[in-house]
Amino acid sequence: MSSVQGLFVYAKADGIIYNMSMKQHFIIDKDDFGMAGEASSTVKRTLTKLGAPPPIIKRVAIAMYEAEINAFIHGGGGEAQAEIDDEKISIIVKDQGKGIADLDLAMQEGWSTADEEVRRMGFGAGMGLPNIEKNTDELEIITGPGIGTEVRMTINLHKQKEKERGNES
Amino acid sequence: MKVDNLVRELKLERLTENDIDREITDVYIGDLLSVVMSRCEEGNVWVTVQTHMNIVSVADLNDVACIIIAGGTQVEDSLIQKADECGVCILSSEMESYELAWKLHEVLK
Repeated sequence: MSSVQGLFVYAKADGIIYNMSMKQHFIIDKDDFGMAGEASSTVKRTLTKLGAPPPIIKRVAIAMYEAEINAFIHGGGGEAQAEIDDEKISIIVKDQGKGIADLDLAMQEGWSTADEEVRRMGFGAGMGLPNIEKNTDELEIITGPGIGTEVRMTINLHKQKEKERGNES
Repeated sequence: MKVDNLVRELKLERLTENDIDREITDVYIGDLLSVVMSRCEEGNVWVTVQTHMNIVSVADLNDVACIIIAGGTQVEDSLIQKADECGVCILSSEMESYELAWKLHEVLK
């Protein structure tokens, strides 16, 4: 289900990650609901082991979980990749689904195309993309009808973006 | 208060076998998973009526102290198995979310 592609020398001291580069790759299988969220959980565990600051870990967990669930629910599965180095955590979640027709609309809180069954399960609140936006320092979404969706997220380990930060929405 | 005290005080049913010697920081009640993801905190008791597999991921990512399934909803064995694997504690109560909130407030205050 997941594979570690590269693991280089790392050390930690006082919660700061030094001299490290690591890449993890995951398959998001649309037929295995029990595994939805597994990629995010694995990256979270990795960051915890590496001694990353808890607020950073929380932001990574939220952003990656939302993207992973989106790929699962809307994208018919796909793949995810997380790369961790001294400076940042870079995450790519990619699906080959039908894509997002109107990205501005999709970025609005409360807007969702999820069906009734998915909503009953507690998804489709229209919070996914706004949650990702709030918790990332850089966000790029490549999408469109018929081309699937690729979400590229960066969370800086030391330097956060200027805007006010918080997990509240 | 620790989870094992809470189990005794509120007569909760333990669905998983893993650790209940965990300090409770607060309570979060919610069934919309994206909202739970952004607002639930580490060490919280999370009360929900959702019983599908993904609640284990949400609980794990938020590092909750335990999940309490409200309203006595039956859960599938596969959920329990996944929770045990991930070290997530799941408890169950016949009480609905509101009554649980009331009782939790009383015992945790």
